[in-house]
Amino acid sequence: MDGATALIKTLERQGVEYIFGYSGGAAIPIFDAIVTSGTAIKLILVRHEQGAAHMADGYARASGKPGVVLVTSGPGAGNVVTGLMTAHMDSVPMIVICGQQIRQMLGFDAFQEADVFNMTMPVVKHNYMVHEVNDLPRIVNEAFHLATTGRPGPVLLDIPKDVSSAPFTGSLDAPIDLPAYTHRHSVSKTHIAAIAAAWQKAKRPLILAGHGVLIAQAAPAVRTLAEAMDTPVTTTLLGKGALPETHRLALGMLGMHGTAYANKAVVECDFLLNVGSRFDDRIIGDPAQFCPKAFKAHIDIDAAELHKMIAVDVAVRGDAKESLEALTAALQPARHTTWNKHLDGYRRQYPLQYSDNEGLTMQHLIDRVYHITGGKAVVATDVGQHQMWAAQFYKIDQPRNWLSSGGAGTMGYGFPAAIGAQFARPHEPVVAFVGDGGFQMTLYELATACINKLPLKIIVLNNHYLGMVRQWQELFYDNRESGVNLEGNPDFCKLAEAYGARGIHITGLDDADAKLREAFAITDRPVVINAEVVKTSNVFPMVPPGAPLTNMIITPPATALDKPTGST
Amino acid sequence: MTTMLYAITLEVRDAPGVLVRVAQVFARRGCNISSVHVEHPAETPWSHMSITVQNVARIDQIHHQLEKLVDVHRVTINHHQDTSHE
Ligand SMILES: Cc1ncc(C[n+]2csc(CCOP(=O)(O)OP(=O)(O)O)c2C)c(N)n1
Ligand SMILES: [Mg+2]
Repeated sequence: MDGATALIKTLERQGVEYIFGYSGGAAIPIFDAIVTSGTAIKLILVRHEQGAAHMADGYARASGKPGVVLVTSGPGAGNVVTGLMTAHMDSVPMIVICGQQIRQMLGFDAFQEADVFNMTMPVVKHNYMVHEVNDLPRIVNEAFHLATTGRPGPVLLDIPKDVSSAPFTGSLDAPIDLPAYTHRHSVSKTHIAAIAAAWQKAKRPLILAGHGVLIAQAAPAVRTLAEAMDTPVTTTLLGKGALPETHRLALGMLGMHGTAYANKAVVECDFLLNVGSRFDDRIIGDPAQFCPKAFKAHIDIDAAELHKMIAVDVAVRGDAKESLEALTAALQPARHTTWNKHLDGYRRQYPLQYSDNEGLTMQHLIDRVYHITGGKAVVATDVGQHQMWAAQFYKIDQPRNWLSSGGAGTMGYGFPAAIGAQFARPHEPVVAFVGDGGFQMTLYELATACINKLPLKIIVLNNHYLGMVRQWQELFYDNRESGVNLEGNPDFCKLAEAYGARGIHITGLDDADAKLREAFAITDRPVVINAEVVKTSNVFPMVPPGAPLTNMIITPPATALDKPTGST
Repeated sequence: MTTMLYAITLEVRDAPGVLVRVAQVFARRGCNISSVHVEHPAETPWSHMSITVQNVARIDQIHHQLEKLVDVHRVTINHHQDTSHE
């Protein structure tokens, strides 16, 4: 057995089902071992390494299991950097294996030698250069342990070709050896008691639930606690599904493009429990003016997130589920009828809405897809206006049904992530909402989707613009458009058909519903739905970047806005 | 002008790249490292790293980010004001 075979066998023992990969010289021994080892792991050949990384990410978010990527050295590894960053920013478990030049050539600028170990350090939880063939099983086991425990993240293995080809004489049962790594932190009883005491006194309590809730499988604990304490819940973009968004206590997403009622709840609450969100600048606006009147508590597994953006009254380092269960045990159930009625008033006064006056809008289409799929689809989005409207109008009732690049905001993420999700959940409907800009960054993966006959629906919300940037130019730069016009887009339907997918063109309000139903009836191949939508709508509500949530703009402003000075 | 000096000592794994990982925590903030010393005493499992930096913002945050590194075992930070350049 060679190193490559030991690697594949260890991956198999880790329960890996799929490897998303793209070959090349330095990785040939590993690709060879996939064949010669007779492994049950299925290799999914992608069309670009960035696609592989986002597929593994989508697979991981949709399944909870780490996604695995295999690429060659140099340019192959270079092409996964954006995917690593995307997964790292959103705490997604992923294992990326890169081929590398042979050891004696390292440092000589040999063919396709790139210093991947140093290049990727800032965008991974941890990485390895494997120097000894017999270390491979231990390192693979460590990689899975690191990727999936504590705050999850991507781990990269750089494997020189002479290491993967060398005879393996070690043990596949190699135990992990990570003496400096700790991921379990016992939840402080004193701090839980302090949070409980403040909550018990609160008149206007609020829960803010982030991605950490879903990672820790704490969604049921959020629901139990919210119901017992009659406390409304707002979520971050990545926290969608932490409480079913159709639940009476769900306020939807907060922040820059959050619901008016969620943002008003944040401004007015007297008690805020943040569980598993890192108080990102997209949700807090001006940190100095965030949630000024409230007692603030924060639960996070990562100590580096506590007191980082917002200094809180009580910070608990620990697992979200364990902490929430401890809180539930420490609290007496309460009713907050007045507060919830007050927020219901905001729901009625400032509902999420759109008008059909100017034709087919993205909101209308997303809303229709929500109803046609019964709110049950696994939804992936790309980045831009369509992403924010999808977050507003596609309510998520179940954890792991919402895949979106939050921290990195990576255009090109949505479609390959949906492919990964469809591999993870083959019998469930998967929908990708993408922009005409972002789709063109990774649409070459139509080949991968077609070859594997994935029945996913790719909905191109085509405004012929880099819409979100155009919105900022309109609002903050006197409507001076620069580098945002996408006239000359290809015919997405013909492109789809060229790959072997179905292409369906929606031209306006009149044919939208019938065409959507036609698309959702197709189950033997991918469908690309090219929807021509109103070109220049803007996403509201909007909190200008760096401004306090009280400055939220709910309807289109009549006058020009000042240029934002805060976070980009 | 008073300068805030931070003396940071770390116990780290004696593994390739650990100095880079630590240095990146400072470099990404545009913070300059004034001095660095690394050695591995024979009798211990850990390498000892001593770093000094000046006037860096949010040292608490840096402390946590250093501790979070998979190869870093322990971090201690001492600070004092240096008024000698006044
Ligand atoms: C890789 C990448 N490049 C640039 C950006 C900056 N950016 C954010 S949204 C956006 C426009 C997206 O346009 P489109 O995909 O058509 O979506 P729309 O906003 O029109 O819905 C751009 C360019 C980004 N987020 N990611
Ligand atoms: Mg667009």
